[in-house]
Amino acid sequence: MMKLRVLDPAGEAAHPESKLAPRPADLNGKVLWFVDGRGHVEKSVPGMNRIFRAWRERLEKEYKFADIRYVRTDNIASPFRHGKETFEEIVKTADVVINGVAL
Amino acid sequence: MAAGQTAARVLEFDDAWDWMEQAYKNGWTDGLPVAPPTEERVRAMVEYVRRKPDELLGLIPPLQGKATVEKVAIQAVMAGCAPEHFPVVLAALECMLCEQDKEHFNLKGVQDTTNPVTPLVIVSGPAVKQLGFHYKENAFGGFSRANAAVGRAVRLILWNLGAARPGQTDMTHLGHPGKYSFCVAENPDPEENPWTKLNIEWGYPASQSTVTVFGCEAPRNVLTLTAVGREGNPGPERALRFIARAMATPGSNNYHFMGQVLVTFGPRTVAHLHQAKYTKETVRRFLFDQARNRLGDLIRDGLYNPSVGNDTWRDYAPWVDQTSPDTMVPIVEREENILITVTGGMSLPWNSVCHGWGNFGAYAVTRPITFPK
Repeated sequence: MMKLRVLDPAGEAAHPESKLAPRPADLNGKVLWFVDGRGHVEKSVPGMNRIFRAWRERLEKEYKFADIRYVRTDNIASPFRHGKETFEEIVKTADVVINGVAL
Repeated sequence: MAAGQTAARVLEFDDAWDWMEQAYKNGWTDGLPVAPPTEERVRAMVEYVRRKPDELLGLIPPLQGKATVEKVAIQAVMAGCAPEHFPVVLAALECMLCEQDKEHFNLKGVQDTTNPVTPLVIVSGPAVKQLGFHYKENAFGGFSRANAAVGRAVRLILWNLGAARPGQTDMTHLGHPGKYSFCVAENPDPEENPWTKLNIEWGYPASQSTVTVFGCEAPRNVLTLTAVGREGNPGPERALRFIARAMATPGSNNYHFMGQVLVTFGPRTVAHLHQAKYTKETVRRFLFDQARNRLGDLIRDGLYNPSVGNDTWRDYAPWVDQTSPDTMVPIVEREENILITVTGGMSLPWNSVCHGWGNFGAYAVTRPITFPK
């Protein structure tokens, strides 16, 4: 019986090998970035600030970080559209990134 | 890769029904049936545009799936496109992948957002008639193969190559029916649409057909019967005020996030406005002046915090007085963020407002349609 031959319509990911970054075993001496992905939406609402603050206090009790940085992204829907330098700085300097969004 | 060769994996099925069932089973469609992308049909599509099948056009988020000419052609065949529709699909894809500063479509955001926006394809110029795009009654609702297939191809590109899946990566709460297929054409007839056409507005000659893609909500109809004014009465102005009120509706992102908004005028409304000497440009200015909300109402609705002020609403132009609750705040930052086109039936002055995604992206991008010579 004659078969119907078609081409596979499924998408093929450009980076199928993507995997999680290695997790440091010890946070002492590391540079930690908090990235608030809320952008400029509702700046009057605390959003992630409260949570980040609580985490920072807790983490600082347990570890001595080399540095802790905080950044709020430009736009919730396209975080680093106008902040490529910031993104590159995070990539360059961060050992650990905690990224979150809350409205 | 030489012409005539295919890069995609070849799959075999017993017949078209077997293909269809497997397409549903494998998630290659969002629920509507899809035509089988046979090697011959896909090859014909690729050869029509005289491009290499493995040419990479871009990556489709959120999967970052590779949009090669062949993979896109597969989606176009499944959507029911004829080869001559393929250049329109490619131009629409180019628009959606545009991430330039002033033409930031932000396709990843459009694919992921909780908002119902989806890419609307607007075809302008000679291709409208040449390819049989429909632009009269039921302009948004379906009639011609060209509108349906091109809109559907865009959807399947986003579905299969971008792998936007509801509840996983496509987080829109409601979506809208246009997500299945969303393509309209601008009325090219000068006697029905004497205004500047989209292709010319975007800097192309009248002979150059274009595609504009704008991410938006479903059209909200606005019947402006008051535009049918008698001599000396303010009918046209009343009609524009009416449309402006529909534009400034609470609930859309434009209400508080600005961005862009599309207004489609029916040719009957255009006739009245044209008779009253309104051009597309003066209509846009009028709508910009009128489509506004009182700052005090935004405060009341919890969408503006006076203590934070301009920092919250970064797109408020500096001239917007944020100290007075009586300030009338525009729904877009600049008048050019009001997009205008003409489409629809003639009998009554039916128009529509398609709200955008606010300042998150989905901004209108226009690209020329390149047909093979």
